[in-house]
Amino acid sequence: MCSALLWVLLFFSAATGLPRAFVREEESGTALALRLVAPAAAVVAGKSLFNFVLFAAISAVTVPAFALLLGWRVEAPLALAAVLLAGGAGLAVVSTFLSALVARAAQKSVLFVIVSFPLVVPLLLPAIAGTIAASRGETPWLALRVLGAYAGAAACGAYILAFAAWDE
Amino acid sequence: MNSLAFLAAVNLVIWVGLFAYLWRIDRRISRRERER
Amino acid sequence: MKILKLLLLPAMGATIAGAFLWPEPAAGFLGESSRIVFFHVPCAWTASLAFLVAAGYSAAVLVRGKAWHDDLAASAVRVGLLFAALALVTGSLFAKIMWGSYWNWDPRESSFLLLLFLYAAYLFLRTAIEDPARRRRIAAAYALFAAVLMPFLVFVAPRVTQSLHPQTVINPEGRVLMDTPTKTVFFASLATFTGLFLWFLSLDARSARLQREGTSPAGNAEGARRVAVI
Repeated sequence: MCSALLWVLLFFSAATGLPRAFVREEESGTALALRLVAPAAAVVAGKSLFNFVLFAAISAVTVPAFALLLGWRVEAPLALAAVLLAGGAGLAVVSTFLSALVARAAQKSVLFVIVSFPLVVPLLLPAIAGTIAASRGETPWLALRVLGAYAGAAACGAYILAFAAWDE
Repeated sequence: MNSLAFLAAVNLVIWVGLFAYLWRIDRRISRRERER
Repeated sequence: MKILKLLLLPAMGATIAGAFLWPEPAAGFLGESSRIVFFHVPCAWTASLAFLVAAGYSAAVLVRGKAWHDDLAASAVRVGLLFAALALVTGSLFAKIMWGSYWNWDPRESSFLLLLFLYAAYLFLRTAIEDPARRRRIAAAYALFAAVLMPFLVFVAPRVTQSLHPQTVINPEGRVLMDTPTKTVFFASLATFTGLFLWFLSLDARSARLQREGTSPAGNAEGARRVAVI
């Protein structure tokens, strides 16, 4: 129960920040400058990395506070950290790439939710399963493998396809 | 009449109707393509 | 082409008649419910095929930038969604008979629903981008990204958690678990559904092309702008 709640919490705190990755550039007018100086793949990679670090920082604050407040005991903290990092990597890559795609569409925020929901939920389920296992003191190898493979596939796809987000 | 045979007959009628409908659309699209 | 379309008429007729009348109902299923396999599985197969075709044409859009490939990709997604919805409906009818409820949040049901949302989102994304050239590129990138992650929905998610769903045709044992009449009707059904999909795809893509070139001046506007830039 606590595991599911934790991920919902993390998800919402991340959801306020992650989709802003490219939208803010559009709004402040710096997107054009960015397009001129750097290839899309580099920008998407950089922003994904930034979002990943952001997610790690958010979890580093949220998870201990959450455990303390709810009296949630985690038997295998290292396994939990691994699940958080693997899940965060996938979340960061998927949301950064989709943010780049919708940045110049109409009604960005609604569109971002519609577009990202089906690609983020598959991360949430193994992440919750892994967190439950970690709190019981087991190492969730299957969940970690699935999360890692998902993040890896998403990263490869995003890196190759990033050029399409730039106008020629 | 056997109920399975009845179901098969109903499905066949639906299929023949769908086929005729698709055939007509196909002809109309082909005609438009020739016109332009 | 025309002969293939005409051939579809008796082929689908034979498939329907065969599905209801030839094979015995499979052991381990209530009543005649196992006959759904001849319609449900081909629908799911056709939907997956359609999404793969959409990915292929999307790649062509990114490489060559042709509007016709974009029409085909969008049509493949639309037709794929139709067959996916049919697979979902037939599956839920089967669920009602076998497990007593139309919807059980079974892993396979949920992941297939997500797949439906994934490609519905593709159509939303298309309507939100005005500029035709940019719409083509962004939609193609999204379709390819979705295709990279789709295997996780179709193959990984249902196998990570316990599912009630009967063994699929592509199963860990790598064998087709059917008797001869069932196998014959099943593969005939796969073939005819694939034929039907190709016909749907061609109709939808051609009418999309007519619409693009005819009523909306999008094609001309693009050409005019290119001239203006030069």
